[in-house]
Amino acid sequence: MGMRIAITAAAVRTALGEDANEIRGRLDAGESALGPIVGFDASGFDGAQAAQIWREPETAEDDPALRILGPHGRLLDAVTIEAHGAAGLEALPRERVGLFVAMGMVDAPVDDLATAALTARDGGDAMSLRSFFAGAYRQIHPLWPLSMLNNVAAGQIAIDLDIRGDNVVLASDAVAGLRALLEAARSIDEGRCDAALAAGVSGRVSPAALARQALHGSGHPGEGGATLVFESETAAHARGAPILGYVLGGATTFGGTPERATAAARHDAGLEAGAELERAARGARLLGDLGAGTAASRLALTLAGWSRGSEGALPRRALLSATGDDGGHGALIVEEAV
Amino acid sequence: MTRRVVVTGLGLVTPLGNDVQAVWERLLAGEGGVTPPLRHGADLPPTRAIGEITPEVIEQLRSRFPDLDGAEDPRTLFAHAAAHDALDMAGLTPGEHDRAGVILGAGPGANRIEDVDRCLREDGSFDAVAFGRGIDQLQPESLIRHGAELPAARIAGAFGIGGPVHAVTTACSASNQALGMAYRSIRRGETDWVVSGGSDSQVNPLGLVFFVLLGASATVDEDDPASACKPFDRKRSGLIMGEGAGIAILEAEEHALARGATILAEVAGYGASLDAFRTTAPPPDGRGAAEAMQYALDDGDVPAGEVDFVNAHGTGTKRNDPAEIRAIRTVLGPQADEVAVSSSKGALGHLLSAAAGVAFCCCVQAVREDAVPPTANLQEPDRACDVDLVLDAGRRKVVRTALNNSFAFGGQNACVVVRKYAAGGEA
Repeated sequence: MGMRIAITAAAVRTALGEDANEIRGRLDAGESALGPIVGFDASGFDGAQAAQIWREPETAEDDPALRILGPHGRLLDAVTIEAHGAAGLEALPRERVGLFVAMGMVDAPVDDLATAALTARDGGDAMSLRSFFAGAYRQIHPLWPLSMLNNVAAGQIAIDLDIRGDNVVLASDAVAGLRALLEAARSIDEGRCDAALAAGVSGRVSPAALARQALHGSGHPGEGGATLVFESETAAHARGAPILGYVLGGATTFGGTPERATAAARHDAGLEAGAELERAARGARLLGDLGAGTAASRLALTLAGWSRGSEGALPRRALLSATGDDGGHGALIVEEAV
Repeated sequence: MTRRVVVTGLGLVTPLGNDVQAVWERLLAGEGGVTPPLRHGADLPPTRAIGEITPEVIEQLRSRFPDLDGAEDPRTLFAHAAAHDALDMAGLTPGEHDRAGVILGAGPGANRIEDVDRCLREDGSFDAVAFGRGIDQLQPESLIRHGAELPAARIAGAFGIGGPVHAVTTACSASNQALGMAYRSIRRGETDWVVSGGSDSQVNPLGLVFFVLLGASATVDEDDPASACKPFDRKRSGLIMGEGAGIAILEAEEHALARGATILAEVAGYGASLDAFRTTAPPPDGRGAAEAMQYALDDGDVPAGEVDFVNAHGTGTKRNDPAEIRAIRTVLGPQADEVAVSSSKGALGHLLSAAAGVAFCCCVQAVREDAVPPTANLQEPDRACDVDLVLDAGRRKVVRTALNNSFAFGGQNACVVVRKYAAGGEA
């Protein structure tokens, strides 16, 4: 990578809390966020458990933000605003602040669709496409289409923070989440941004998410996400920002074993093959499978873990790994700030 | 490490056909591929014009890839076909390609209202229990079956590609952002070549009402549905949905030269920006678009005076088109009067996450053949669109450098610079 990327702020939300230190402490105590699913009847899904934040059915009413962003988009917005504020980025030129996001799959708000489908039944047992197209579709809220675009949350963050720099939105699994962190780090390394907001958020635990889990064999779903702020070490020092840790390098690969991604990440970070690395964010599986929010959350919790337990003079290094749904792997190497 | 990035292969699936040269010639001739809806009945969907892949072509593609897991998803099928053609043009074959990647723009997939309808109680509420017990009955195209990563993952699996494999989901700018990621990956030495571009299909019941609900769909003359989308025209009324895929092979120049590949063009720069304005509309002064274009030119140290063609996002909506022209004028200054501008959305519809991938292939063809396609259906340019718009038929002119613009709902803007390849230049 050629330079150490400083991490100057982190914000995280999971089913175990909204503060990284608190979540880290509860994980260290062996507490699990997994439990029975609430908000809808999940008894049709075998053995379904989840780590939920959003425990009530969504009531969108006429709130455009609810309609467009959905709960995970709003969580992303909240943690990113928190991280941006914590890092004190307001004084930076807006064109030099970037946003790199990974998001879980968007699942359609069902209520609108149910009303439209029912209207299109014409009293029969199944909807008629002719009736749907003839006008039943108008039962769907006009803003519903935007709720299906997971880049819209990133756009809303840009509006809320008035940032206009380099950006990307990736979907939708844990490797995408790790890659978003890596793209953010590259934007600093290659001089495109003065600060980069690196974010990831899970999808919502919904009937569709459980169906996806059943089809693709992923773990119990969780809800949560995090945003970190990356800067060059020089810039962070120059503006007096505290440094929480460093990103040293990373890689994403496809097929084969996770070790290939790890080897590529070590190479990217300039580390020897035998250099010792901790496993990042031990116990984080108790938060459920956060999908695209996994890497950002685990990085935030790794920093919190170091902050809680670090006494040694030597910086510790950790390997943050990710495995995707379709054969992808990712590895990111981070270092403690001493 | 900073390396030059070149293009060595192209592949298309479009409403005008799937052969790159044939599609290009039809675009130059001013032909269009927009028709009444085919797969859901000509008189049913409220949008009466689509840039649609015919059912016959879809079946041909499925027959071509009988073992493709996920072929039910048109987006995956289109990407696979276009990628195979692009890799074939590039002379790349399946193997162990650990230093190659696949980075594609991809639509979110198809939500199927039929899956909701199947699980309705008598009172109209959704029965999650029935849904859970009927997973095997999910529609074949459902996005629950096919995540956004699937098109890229299937290509990687088929060709033994072992580097970064990702899906970019920034809607209408997704392909350009994917191409930008691929370009940067190669330039910094992470990969030697990347399959990039994008694929999308929303030709399904919910997709077909998408733009209608948003109020962005063009008014359609049922006697002439092909004329519905009129980018930059005084009478433009909105956009028309399309589907397809546009894929390119981006490759490190040294790698391409070492294996004797034919180099089609150079990717000379990339820039991305955020509007930070409104979710559904660009700022009228086009500032976000201008920033993306300027960053792309700066990235490649390309002077405005070397730009001969802007392949515009040009959706045909009231707000996008003049904002984009303002952006072009802001960035190119007086040179804007010398630059040919056109949009392919009149001919093909808006291919959403695939749009910039197809447009990128057009840019490569433009610098290869020194030609610029016209904007189909553009007859009376809006006075607010006061640049050299290409009307009626293709124009022969030297195209040293082309800009590929794309701007998304949500405010993500991206621009890729495509330059005529000259051996011996510096990155």
